[in-house]
Amino acid sequence: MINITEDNLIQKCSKGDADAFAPLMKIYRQRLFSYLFKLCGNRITAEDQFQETLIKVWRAFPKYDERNKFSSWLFSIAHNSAMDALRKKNLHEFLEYNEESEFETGTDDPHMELINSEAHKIISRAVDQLPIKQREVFLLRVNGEMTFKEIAEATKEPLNTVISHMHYSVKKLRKILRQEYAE
Amino acid sequence: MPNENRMTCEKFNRDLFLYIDTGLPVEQIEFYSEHLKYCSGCRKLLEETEELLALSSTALGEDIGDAKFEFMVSKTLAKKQPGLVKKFFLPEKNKKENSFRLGKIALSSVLVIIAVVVSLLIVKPYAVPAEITNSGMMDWNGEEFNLKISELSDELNGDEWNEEEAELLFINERINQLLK
Repeated sequence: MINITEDNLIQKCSKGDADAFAPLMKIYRQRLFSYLFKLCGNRITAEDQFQETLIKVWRAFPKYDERNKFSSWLFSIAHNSAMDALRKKNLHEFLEYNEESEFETGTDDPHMELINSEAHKIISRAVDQLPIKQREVFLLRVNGEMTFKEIAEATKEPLNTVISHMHYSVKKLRKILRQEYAE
Repeated sequence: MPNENRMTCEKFNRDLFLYIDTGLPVEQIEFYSEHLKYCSGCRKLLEETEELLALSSTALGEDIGDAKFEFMVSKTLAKKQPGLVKKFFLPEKNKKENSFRLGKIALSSVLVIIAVVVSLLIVKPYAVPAEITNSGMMDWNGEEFNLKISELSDELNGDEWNEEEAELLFINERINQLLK
């Protein structure tokens, strides 16, 4: 059986091979959707942005420079697309988003059980409470697995500002977790 | 010594994420690694942060579902690439790109104006040179035309015909007189 690596898929997509697109995006599907879901604050907007990102990525593939890390390129596109959409929406409403997590409960799936664990729920809710800039940096680091330098490039913010956002977000999350466990 | 330690701890706290990212110079990473061996406070901070990031990456694991994913991919691939002209002028969602599009339109307009001016200035191989039409050098044709025009106008006026008819009438009268 031929082992089709991620690099092969990226190369094929760059050459316009549509058959390689689905398997490649499947690798990043969950991370990308989680990022958009947490950034946008609701499933409908996240799904719209997921579709937008797929279209933009496929269209931009001929211009993709293989020297750049694919995941960073992908998440930069997703980030820009989502931020544009959110700017168009009422940003104020978005900033005040504090919806309950949509995690499902009562499943026999061990993976879902893990996701539904108390700590995960707390973290998910805590991330929702972060201000937009801090949430943006935190999610790009956690879901996008981007380095802070890459995040600085994607968000067009100075590196020190990005690191400062990360410090504040981690500090806040830690504080929320401590409070939750103390109760 | 404790002061020096505290300063290193503060620096490590500041550089924590760059240390995790290995985004620091090698010497700096080695220095902090050495510091971590004996500083339990910094070690705890590093472990807790890494644990939180790892936990977050699994906690934030939402999925879109197979059916929706397949549908979205097929929709993406079915979408036609915009044509070159459309790509060039298509309004972008991004404000910066939109102003860039206006620049493209302005540039195109300037190019069209330049093309029109150049086409007016260029001498066309089969065109009658301006100096000929302007200075009456079309006499080689003009004379012929003028002659024909005057003939036609004479014919229309009927002067010449009248003269000929009068001459014929005169000759006719003379012949009649001679015959008498």
